[in-house]
Amino acid sequence: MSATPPSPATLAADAEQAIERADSLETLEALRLRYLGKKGEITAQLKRLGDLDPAQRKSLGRALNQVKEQIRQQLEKRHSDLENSAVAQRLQRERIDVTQPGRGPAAGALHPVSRTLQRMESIFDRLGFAVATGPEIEDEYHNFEALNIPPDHPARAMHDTFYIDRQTVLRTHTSPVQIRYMHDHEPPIKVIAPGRVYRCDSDVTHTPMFHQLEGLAVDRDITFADLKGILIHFLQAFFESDLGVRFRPSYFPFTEPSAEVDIACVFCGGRGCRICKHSGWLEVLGSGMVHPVVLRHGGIDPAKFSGYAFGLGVERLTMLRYGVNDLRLFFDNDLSFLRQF
Amino acid sequence: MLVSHAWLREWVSTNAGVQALAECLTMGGLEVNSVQPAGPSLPERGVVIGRILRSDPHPASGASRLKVCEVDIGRRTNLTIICGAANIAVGGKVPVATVGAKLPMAEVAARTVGGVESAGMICSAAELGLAEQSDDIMTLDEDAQIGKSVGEYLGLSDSVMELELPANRGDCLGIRGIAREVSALSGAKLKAPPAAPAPVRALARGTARLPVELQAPQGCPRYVGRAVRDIDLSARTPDWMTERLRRSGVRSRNIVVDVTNYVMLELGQPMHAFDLDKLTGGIVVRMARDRERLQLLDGGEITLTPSHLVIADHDKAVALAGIMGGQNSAISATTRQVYLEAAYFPPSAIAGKARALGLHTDASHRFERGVDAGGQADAMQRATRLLVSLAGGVPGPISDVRERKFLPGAAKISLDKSEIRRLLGTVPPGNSVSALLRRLGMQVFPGGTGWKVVVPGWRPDLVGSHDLVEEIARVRGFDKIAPRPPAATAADQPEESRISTARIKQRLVERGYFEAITYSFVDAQMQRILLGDGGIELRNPIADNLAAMRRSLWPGLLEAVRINLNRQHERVRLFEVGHVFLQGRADGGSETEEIHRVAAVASGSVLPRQWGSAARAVDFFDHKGDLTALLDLSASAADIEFHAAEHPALHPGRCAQIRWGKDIVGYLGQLHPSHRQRVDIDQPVYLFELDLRVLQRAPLPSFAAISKYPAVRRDLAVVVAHTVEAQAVLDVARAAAGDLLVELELFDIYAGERIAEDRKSFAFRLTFQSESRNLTASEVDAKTDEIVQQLQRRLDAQLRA
Repeated sequence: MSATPPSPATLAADAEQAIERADSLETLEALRLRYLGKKGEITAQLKRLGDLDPAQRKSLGRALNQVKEQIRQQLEKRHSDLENSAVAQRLQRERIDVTQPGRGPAAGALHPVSRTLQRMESIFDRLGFAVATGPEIEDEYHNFEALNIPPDHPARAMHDTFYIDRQTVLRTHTSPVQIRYMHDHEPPIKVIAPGRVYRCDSDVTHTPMFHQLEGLAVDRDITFADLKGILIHFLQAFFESDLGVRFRPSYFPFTEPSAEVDIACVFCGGRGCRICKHSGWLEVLGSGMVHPVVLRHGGIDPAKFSGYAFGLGVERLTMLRYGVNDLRLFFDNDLSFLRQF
Repeated sequence: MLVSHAWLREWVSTNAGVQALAECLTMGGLEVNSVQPAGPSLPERGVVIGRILRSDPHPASGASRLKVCEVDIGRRTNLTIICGAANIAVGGKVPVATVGAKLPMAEVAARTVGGVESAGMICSAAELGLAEQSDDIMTLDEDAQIGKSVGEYLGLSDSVMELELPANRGDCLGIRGIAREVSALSGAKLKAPPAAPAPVRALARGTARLPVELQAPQGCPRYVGRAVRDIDLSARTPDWMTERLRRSGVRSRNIVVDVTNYVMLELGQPMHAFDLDKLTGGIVVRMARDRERLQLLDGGEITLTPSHLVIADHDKAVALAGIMGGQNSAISATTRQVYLEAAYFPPSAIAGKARALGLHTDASHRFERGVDAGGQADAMQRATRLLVSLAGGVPGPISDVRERKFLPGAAKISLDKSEIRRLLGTVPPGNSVSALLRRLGMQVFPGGTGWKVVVPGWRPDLVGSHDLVEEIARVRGFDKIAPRPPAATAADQPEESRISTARIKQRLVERGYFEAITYSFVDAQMQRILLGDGGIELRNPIADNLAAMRRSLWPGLLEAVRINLNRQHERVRLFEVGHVFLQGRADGGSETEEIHRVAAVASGSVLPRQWGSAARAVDFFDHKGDLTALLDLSASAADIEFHAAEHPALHPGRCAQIRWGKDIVGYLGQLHPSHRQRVDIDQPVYLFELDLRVLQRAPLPSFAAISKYPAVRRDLAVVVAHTVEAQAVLDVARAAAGDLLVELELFDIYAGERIAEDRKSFAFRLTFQSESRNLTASEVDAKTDEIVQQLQRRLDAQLRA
């Protein structure tokens, strides 16, 4: 004869305690079987209800069913708690250090001279200037004669020309593109010509190769006032500043009147410093009204058309824009330099 | 050009300070680069004029040259000064620095030498900061006032402007010319020169006049000459003249040469002086005889040709006209009679001649820029006057020989108002145009809608109306022309299919490459080795290793790789876009051809050093991936083929020729290991170079309907001989599969275990899809079988087990 089965209250208390203590889904499943399983304690007692008198049967049955439902709910809750904590633990295990650097390739960079040229082209594009190019190995005619620089002109001495043979040179400026472009196009002309130029000169402030950007506009009603307007606009756009610009008379064989253009020193704001030699001004480009001889060499009638032209040193403006203090850095191609742009 | 402010103010009436004058000249087109003090600022009472009264050998130093001098400096007591200079002369005037005087280099202290106390210093020019170097003490003019401040006596408070003159302004190569500019720009009045060149009466004696013959009148249409006899060549050049010469950057030599230089600096007319006794017969201006030789004043001997203009006497050439005199007729210490020359040589006769001989002189500089063809007689008078007053002498009559036909006449220019408006956009109001032009020394005759203008002889650069427009704008000031702001209009419509160079560069930048810009000239020998051809050579390279135009961007990029590896950058990715220069054209022409190319170079690890990725060196296929990324921009990408090839720069087994149809448009490969030492790079380097024309057009996307039917995939692995190229396998598979194959992906290449030694395995995924129906498994299998069979038949491929 077995011992008296535990009362529903005892059962409920025992089960609650056991479920609370269960720390894994497996233990919990064992408890479910122990209490609610086909061979579990409650099932066993329910099966024996038939042996009792009707009054006892009824009250014990109700109590047992209540306990059964209670345990079922407790099991369910504990199950979900255990499950949640397992997920939480897994997530905890999966934690990473979000401050570690990202992986993968890294981008390179444009050369500062390219960067400057692209900015210049985009400023002039908005003003309606097309882009033209010309050969770097140029004949003397286009590099000199056509630009009103005859063979013994003193200006030639200043050009320090590289020669391939007697009639062939490395272009000393981008101005020959003016002649070629005028030859192939009818006015109105609005064009810029960026590119490499060469001078046989090398020291702290000169490299044998550098870049220029040439500009040319030819039409029926182009005056010095337009030249001033376009260059002031360009320089202020390039430096993103309302800086002062002044035009100084000068001499170039291919323009007349000719002007050198200064900007208020970008380092001292025009107050005077070492870089502007205490003048407050920095010379940045040469310009002028296209000389009638040059228009004629371009196949354009100077009685009908006039034009302006300008030429600027790209490295010079790049140095001023980014504060680069040594021209030679541009052609060393040291990654420590290139990375900065 | 160095301009003394004080000298300039003798010629123009202005109260403007030197800075204001410099600003005025700069804004008028004569750029003043710097303004410097004419000399050091010497203490007024500390450096004074003294006279040496006595000079005795120093008692204690027998052998040395030290002397004990008694010097009168106009104070109550005379000074005792010890001095070691060789040119100490009793009675001479000298600069004396008293004890405590601060000189440019040091402060003067009393010192005792061998028991004798020296109370000051007799100074050399160097000690006063007036010369770089001088062994002797400085001596002063006889009439210098004892006790007077040396700084004041020499006028050292003056300033010197350094002008950078434009090449067309020969007229400004003299004080008088600058004064004219100041007058024109500021309205200040010109002054008559302090010692106006009053004509000197010719005193005839003996053969008064040397015959002058102009045999080459194009080269010398005017020659003014004059003999001056009985000169005292030992005459001292006065301090004021020496100082002005020094401020102009000219060293004092002797009284005759100093006078001719002085006149040149003042009036802009170069002059020359011959030793009259060394001239035979007379002056002949002629072209040189072939192989005629002439030793110049600078000591150099030149061999002349008939293209050189010379001044000769009846025997020999005595000067290279307008450039430099000859040694055989030079002024020397024994010269007693001189022959002065003031000639006009047009720029065409001189330009380039000096440079061709490696010479550049003050005279040639002026003649090639153009001097006033009417200024020779004035200069002659001025020089004679100075010479006679400073060195005595008896001037002979002036010979002034001209060939008018070759002398430039005064330019007469018509200027119309409309021309001014057309170029400047505005016309100065009222009669200011005539006023401006008159200020420039022009004669102006108003008439109709413009003016008739006669240009003065000193402005040969003004020949047309546009020249006058420039003068008007310049003298009035460019700031008087209001800028007209540009109207914004876009140039061309942007073309979607155009690939800009910027986009090509951007693609490489995003793939980790830095843009390099390397010189267009490279080492010819290196180029010969890397490219099999040295390239077009420069006649005058800046350096031996920069003597040939590049035929490829590789030599420059390899040099940049080398520099970076040497500077501890272990991983280098660089690219460049630029021209290469080839001799001769494809069509057989001999001209040079410039081809626009892009090239890239990679060396070091495949990725920047980082955690979590195993470090691996970049290889051929990494670099090819970057090239493919570039090609993918282009509509031509589908027509590009890679073929195994050879190239002198590249590893023979790792070199691909890039073909676009029939054209070879580039190469890709690994730098040939045997070149590594030559280029001084100690690790593998991968290179590609591509003609940019391949990348001109981008494809315009064209939509294709997306199939509603599922795709069916099959993976296939085949084993082929080692020599079979991947491209061949893919080509055969694609051809065999037909239209239903929409994707063919090579996902594994394997050689090694379980594969025969001379064979390799390619695994690829085939994706079949129809736009109009579901594909059945059996038809896809049939296609796959067909592919396998074709691969077997054509490439001896076996299905991998």
